[in-house]
Formats: sequence, C-alpha cells, structure tokens
Amino acid sequence: MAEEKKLNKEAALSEASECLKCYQAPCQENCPAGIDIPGFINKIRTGDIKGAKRVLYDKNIFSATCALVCPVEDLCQENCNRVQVSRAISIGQLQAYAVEEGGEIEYPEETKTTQPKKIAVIGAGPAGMSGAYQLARIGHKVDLFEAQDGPGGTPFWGIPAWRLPRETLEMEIKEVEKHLNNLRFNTRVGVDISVEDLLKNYDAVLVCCGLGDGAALRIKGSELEGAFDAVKFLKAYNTGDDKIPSPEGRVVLVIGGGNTAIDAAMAAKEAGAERSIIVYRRSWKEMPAWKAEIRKAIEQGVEFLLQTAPVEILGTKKVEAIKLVPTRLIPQEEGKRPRPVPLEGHEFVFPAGMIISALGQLENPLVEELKGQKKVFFAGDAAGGEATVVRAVAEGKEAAEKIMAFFQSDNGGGV
Amino acid sequence: MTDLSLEFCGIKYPNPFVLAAAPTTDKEDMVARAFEAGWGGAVLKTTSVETEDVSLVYPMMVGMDYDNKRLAALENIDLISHHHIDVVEKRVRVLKKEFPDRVVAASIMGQAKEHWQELVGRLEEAGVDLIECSFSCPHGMPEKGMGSTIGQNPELVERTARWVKEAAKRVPIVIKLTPQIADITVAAEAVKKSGADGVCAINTVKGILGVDIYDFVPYPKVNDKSTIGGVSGRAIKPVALRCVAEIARSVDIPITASGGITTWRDAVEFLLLGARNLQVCTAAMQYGFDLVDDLKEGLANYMEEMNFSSVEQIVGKSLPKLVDHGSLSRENRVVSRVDEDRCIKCGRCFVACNDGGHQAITIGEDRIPQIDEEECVGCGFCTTICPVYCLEMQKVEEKNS
Repeated sequence: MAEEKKLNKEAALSEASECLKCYQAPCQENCPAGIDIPGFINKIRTGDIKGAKRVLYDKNIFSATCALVCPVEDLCQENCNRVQVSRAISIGQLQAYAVEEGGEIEYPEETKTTQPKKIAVIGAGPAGMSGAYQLARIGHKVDLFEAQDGPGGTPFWGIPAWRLPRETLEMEIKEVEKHLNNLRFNTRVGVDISVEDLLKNYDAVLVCCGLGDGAALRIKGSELEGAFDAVKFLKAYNTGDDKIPSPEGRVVLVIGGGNTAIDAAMAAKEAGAERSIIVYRRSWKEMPAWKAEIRKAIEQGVEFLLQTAPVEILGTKKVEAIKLVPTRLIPQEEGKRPRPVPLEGHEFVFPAGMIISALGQLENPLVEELKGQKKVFFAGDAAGGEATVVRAVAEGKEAAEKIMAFFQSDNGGGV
Repeated sequence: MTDLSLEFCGIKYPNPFVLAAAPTTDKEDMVARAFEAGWGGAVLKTTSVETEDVSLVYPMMVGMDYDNKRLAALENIDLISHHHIDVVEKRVRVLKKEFPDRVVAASIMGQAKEHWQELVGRLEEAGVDLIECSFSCPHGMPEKGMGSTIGQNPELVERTARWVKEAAKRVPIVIKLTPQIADITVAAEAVKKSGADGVCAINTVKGILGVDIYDFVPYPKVNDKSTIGGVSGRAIKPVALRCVAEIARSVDIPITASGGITTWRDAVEFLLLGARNLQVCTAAMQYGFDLVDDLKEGLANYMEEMNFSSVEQIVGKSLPKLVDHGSLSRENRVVSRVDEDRCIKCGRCFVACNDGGHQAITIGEDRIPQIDEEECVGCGFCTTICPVYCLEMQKVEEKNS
C-alpha cells in the first residue's frame, strides 16, 4: 500500500523549519476547523511537540484521525505560500508527527454552565461527536443516539482500516464518550425512538445522521447479482460483513468519479479484484475526487476509463458484462462543468464480474422529517456539508455554539 | 586560472586560503591532503616544549544549531596539540620537502622566555616558513598564565612578542590576538612596537554554547561538568570582521584573518576590510578540505566580474567606507519598497514592522504589503526577514514636514 512516509524527529524539524509562518496564513484559512497551523508547526520547530499537539486539539478533537484522512492537498496545503519558493509544507505529515509524538493531551477544562440542558445528538460520527463534546464538556446533559452498533460514523465504515487504523479513531472517540450522559447504539430515531419523544424530552436536538442510501444506478441490469451500491460495498468491506460476495478474482467496474468511487475501487483492488476500473463520464480535470486519492488509486493499480458512461449491465442472473459508451464533453458557461454526451453508435461491451455504483448518496429521510422544527440543529453530511471529517468536526462545533446561543436567547429562535 | 597569489609578511602564498592551527593540521597526512586539495598554506596545530603537559578532556566540541541547520557556531575546549615540538619539527621537514610551494607555518605557545625562544629556534631550523604565536586561546591555557592571559594585557603582548621576534633569525613572526579585550587595536599596536611582523585576528570568542536543560550541565559536557570554551564558526564572523577592520584602519601591520570564514563571499569581505591572508578552521572541519575549491573558484569569479587583476587590489578597499557613527550622513532618507512581482504574500514583513518597527506596513485584500512612506522611518528591519528578498530600502526625497 502506498502510504505517506512518517516523519522522524529530524525530518519533522527540517520540515517545520521551512514554514514561513505567514501572517493570516492561507493554510489556516483553508482549514475547515481553523487550526492555527503556523502555530503548531512553529512549536514543532522549537521542539515543543506537546504544545503543537495542544494547538491541534484546541480546534479539532479528531486531529489524529484528520492527520490520516484529511485531503491536505485540497485544503491547507493547497495555497501554501511556500509553493512560490519551493513546495508546499507537508502539513498533514507534521500533524501526524505532532499527534503521535505529543504525548498525552490535556483537554482544556471549561467553565461549567449554571443552567445545564438536555440535548439529544443523533449520529455518533465526527459531526455528532464534535457537537456532543462541545456541549457535554461545559456541563450539558448529552444523550447520543447511533443507529449502528458502534461509534465512528462514516470514517468507521467508509474508510478502510489500512488508511485509518481503528485504534486512532477509537482513541479520539473515547475522549468524547467520557463526557456524555448516555450513548445508545442500535437506536434508530424514528424506529426505535420516536421523533416526538425526542422533541418532547430534550431542550435541543442536534441532527448529525449523515446521508442516506447510495443513489441508484438507473440502467437496465442493475438488479443483477454482483451489482452493488458503493456505500453498501464499503460498509461490508470495512466492517468485515460477508453479505456481499468478495471481489477476489473478478473484474470490478466502479461507476463514478468521487471519493467514494475511489475508495470502493481501492477496496476492491485490496480485496483481490483481478482488475479494478473506475468508469467516469467526464475527464481527469472534472473528477471531484481529491488529487491525493486519485494518485493513491493509480499507485495501487486501479485503472480508469474516462469519458465513458454506463448503458446497461448484461447477464442472465449474475453480472457478466457491462455495455459502455464513450462520451463527448460539451463546454458549458463559465464555472460549470462540461456536459458529457454519449457518442451514440460507439457502444461497446466490457466483461465484468462486479459493478459498483458510486453516484453519491441520497439525503437521510430523517433530515426532511426534522427540518424546520424549533430547537433542531444540523451538522455534518446531514446539513449538506462537504464530505470531510474535518468539515464535520467544524460543523459539529459550530452547531453546538448555535445551540448555546439558542439557550441564551430569550425567544429561543431556532436555527 | 586567475592568479590568486598574495604576499603576507614577505611570504608569497599561491592563494590566500590557509588552514588555521586546529585539529585539521595536527597530522602530517591531513595537511598533505589539504595541500593536494589546493590550500595555499597551513598553520600546524599549536605546539609547545616537551615539559608542557597537555591534558585533554572529552568530548571537547559542541555545535549550535539554527532550526534544522547545524553548526551556526562551534564551541571547543580543546587545548594545544599533544604533539610537542620534536614531532612538529619533523612534520615541517616532511611537508616542506613534499610541498615546497606551499606555506608551512607553525603555531607555538609558551610561558617562559626560554620556551618561546627555543621553539622559534627549532622550527626555523626545521625550515618553517612563518611562526604564529598564540596569545589568544581563551580556555584552559589562561589558567596556566598562557593563551589569552597574554593577549589581554598589552604589556605582556609586547614583551612576549619581542622575545619571540628576537629569537627569529629568518622567519616572520605573527601574533594571534584574542577578541576578549576592550580595544584590540591596543594589542595590535603592542605587536607592532615589539617588532613582530604581523597579527592574526581573531582567535575564538569565549563562550558557553548552551546548557542541557534536563540535567542542567552546560555544553560541552565532560561527565557532569562543563567549562567555558572558545566559540568559532559563522556566528563569530561579525566580531572577526570588526576586529580586522579596526586593526587595519589604525595599525600599520599585515593581518591574517580568522573567524567564521565559510564561503568565498566571507573571504572577499575580510579582504575588503584589510586582511591579506585568510585562515579557515570550522568550515574546513565541517565541509572537508574540498572547501578550498569553492573558495578559490568563487574568489576568481568575483575578481573577473569586478575586474580585479590581483587579490592585492581587493585588500582594504572597504576601509575608507567605514567611518565613525558621527560621520554618517543624516540626510540619507530611505524607505522600504516592495517588489510586488516577487512578493509571495506571506505577510512576515507586516508582523516585523508591526511588532518590531514602526507600524508602516499594512496588508491589503490581495495580501501584498502596502508601505506607508510617511510612517516608514527606513530602519530596514523588514528587509532582513523577507524570505524572498523582495523588500529593498530605496532613497526618497527629503520628507516635507
């Protein structure tokens, strides 16, 4: 597996010494959590790794997780001023070094509220955890409801363990759990506990339930055995569920160009697929997946069929092949991605043993149900945010702040 | 190749680059390798008479880092060579025979008159080209009344230098001075009065490189104790340049410079301020004898670029430009100006001016610094921190107010 090389002490010092410590640094402005990046790097430069770690955790309680999964090239590192001198500072690697070498974190003590409230948080992913943490550590009674049988949310089922070791995530979750009043797994809001009860029993509800099912591939043959949705596939792969047959020895085609498509294609390859091929209807340029992810996939041997769209999955009972069609890209007005148009008459058949569709996820039905309700707040993918852990953490925190402001306002004016 | 030769105290050096008396010159084969690499001369590590006990301690060296860079400065608590005069005599003979065109100098240290004079006599006999006397080692030796104990006292300087000079029949005598003195020109003047031929400026700067903050022992740690040592390397260059310039402008005596010379640029600076011979120690230890190739070629390219046909033409050229503070122009009005095309928008100059200057820089929407020329006093600090050198002090018309 192509993994980023870990920095040792000397390499970390060397890298940290290159940081320009920009004023109003673009890296910090590009960090959804607003981490004081020059600040933590400067502490590494002076050998205060504990201090560096403290700066990280001040703004992001999932700093260790984010060090491993943040798309740094598309976030903090993207506008690093150092590029104009040589290259961007390896912020992600420095963060990983600080969280690893910074020792025990002393989470700051907060002044407790004099008016503790009862708050329900739905979803134990990064957004829910982050929001719950902010509220619980100042003394509010927070109950967290999670539909799955464990915490972690999307990073847990969506990111393979070789990229995000479960201990890292669990370590950070544990810190949040300490502050919670109650954490209930296998509890689906709307099924195991009613929305009405939640609204009745709690002073505020923070909805961080994530997205719903994967969008369906609306072509003929998608009901055949061996055609799956990427969300289901990744959940099965990452949790060791055997409901989905193994990709081992098969030619796997993944339809889509986002990060989920890349993750699914890499997971399929990792699981022993003979070939793992991403089918995307536009070109490299428009591919929404992060640059580093695409690069990792290429290094891992994932193949790409670009400007190609699916037409029909072929097979009698099982997937045997897929009919594909090349596309032509029609430029659109400025700021819009070009429109792919199938080149009719040029369809071709590609033998395949498994088709995974990664066309994005639908909204979680719970969101529609709770939208517009007084004392209900949203964060993370449920609020339509970007699909990054760091963004979810930031949104959870922002939502917690909104809830606190809501408690303070006399009229209690909702979202 | 450009002629880099330069005369010093009547001796012609094929180039002005000389290895200073140090560990680099304490073995015959090391000096031989250095000469093969192209050094113009070498001062063999300081020796003494057999009765002098040289009791070394280890470790004896420690470096000072700057961020991720090593050796901004080096501190040592080394003493003179544990090889006494009889060994050094033999080395001089071998080296002179093998490298007749290079300058083989010896460095000596003594206490009593007869010691100094015996050392001079034996080295001359062995064929040495020049003798350097250490009146300047700041650690260890002063505890025995040697080294900088002499250099810090102009009367002792003159008396001791005279003993040495009296004993010398043929070779020039150079006195190595310490910067640990209120006015180094007084010591240089004392050398001049003694009749000795030249001075070497400077020996190491007395210092403590740092402290182990976890066991409280200063560096370098010899078991659980340390002692004050001599600091060399890049960090002491400003001190050395100052000493050379001060001597050059007030005492008529040839100067061999030593103290932080690392690159050909450093070398040119020392020449410009009046040195006519350049000694290198720390940089040669750090980068190896090959360093001389960079020094020589860099100097030759500089001379070509500046139309100098001999190194001699460089010597002392900056001295007229070094005046007393009171003589500096009060009319000179400069402000900081930014080359916007080169600016990388890091904002460091804003912080520097805001917290270390006169709040004359603001950062606009586009992150490019805007300099308020009314507020800018022209201190120049911002130009020292810009990572891409895009700020420059420029002359402006007299401020109307």
